[in-house]
Amino acid sequence: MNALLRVLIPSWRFFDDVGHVSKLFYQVDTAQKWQPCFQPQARHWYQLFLNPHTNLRLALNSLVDRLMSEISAINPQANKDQLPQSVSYQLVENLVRHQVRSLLPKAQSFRFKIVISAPGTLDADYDALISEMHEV
Amino acid sequence: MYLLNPTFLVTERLIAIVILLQTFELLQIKEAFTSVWSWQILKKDYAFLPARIQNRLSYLFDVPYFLFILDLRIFLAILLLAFPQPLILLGLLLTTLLICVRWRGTYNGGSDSMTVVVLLALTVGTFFHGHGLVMKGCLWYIALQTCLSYWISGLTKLRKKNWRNGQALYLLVTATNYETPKEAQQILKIPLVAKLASWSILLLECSFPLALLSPDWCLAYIAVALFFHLGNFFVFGLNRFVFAWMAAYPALYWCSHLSKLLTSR
Repeated sequence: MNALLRVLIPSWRFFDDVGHVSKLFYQVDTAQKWQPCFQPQARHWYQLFLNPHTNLRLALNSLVDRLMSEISAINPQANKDQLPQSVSYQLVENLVRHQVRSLLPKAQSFRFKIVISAPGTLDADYDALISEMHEV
Repeated sequence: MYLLNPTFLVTERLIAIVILLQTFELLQIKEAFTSVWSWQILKKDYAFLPARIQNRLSYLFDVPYFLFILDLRIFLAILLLAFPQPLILLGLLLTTLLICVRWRGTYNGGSDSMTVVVLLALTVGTFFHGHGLVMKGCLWYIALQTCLSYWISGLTKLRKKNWRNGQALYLLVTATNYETPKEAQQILKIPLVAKLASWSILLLECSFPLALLSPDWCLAYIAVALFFHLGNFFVFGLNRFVFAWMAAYPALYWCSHLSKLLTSR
């Protein structure tokens, strides 16, 4: 029902809040460096008509933002065990698993983290979420 | 009924093209329906429903059934180009809503919302074909939502200091998850350019309802807004907004003939 309301009652607020930016990283082995989950994409004029991969990227970023807003709304310490059961968390887990499978087919397990930055402020970036290890 | 039917016809054709483009895009990323947005996970959002209904939902949203909805949407959009019938529009509205529900709201934010606004108005308007008042109301609904889409967006930005001094636009282009062209990043590094660009956006969005005052003003606003949406595509990759809003402009233009409407029978 919420999903239906979200589309039937548009908010028409675009880019008004350029506050915090959520960035998704993954790690396949705790000894390895964290890698950004998304790789840069090229843009061409003909994508004006069909731009599936950029729009998918935007949807994936929205998914990460949604997980972050859900985490902000709860007390992560009190609900630490419940968080991995949430739909948004599992979708992000799926997203990272898919990336790891396609980039590193031999990887056995992975974890992910969401880093929050506040561009334009003096605030340092911080890890808002570091997941447990998950099987690929 | 000044140009009422032609306005409906043009809007129907435009929204059919919008839906075709949107659906072709979705079919190209169909792998994501199972690799990321798997129904096995999404269905937990509906755990509060009786098991029988949850099972029925699987026949709509699980793959391959969801792909049938996309195929049906393409078929209906092609039909709409030739036969603008109310049942076809109703089918397109329902399939669009189902797609949005599977994406837990919208797939592409405002562009999905504008698609639904136009489809909803056209569906009601064609069901009441011949009832001038209802048809006019439907076009006014699209026109007012279009004005609101710019006006609300402009007002919410205008309240923010960093939008008024150009910093928000600079940060949006340089420091967010949008992959923006280097040229745009370089030019917005100049504070005066960022401030001018920011105020141009604020001015366009906040004053957009003035487009309803006359057809000439409306055409001028549509031209500037199209340029703005094309800019958003080149900078942020937001192609869907160009076409979704384009489908709403005929209704806006029709409503800008307010003086003629008031004197027509």
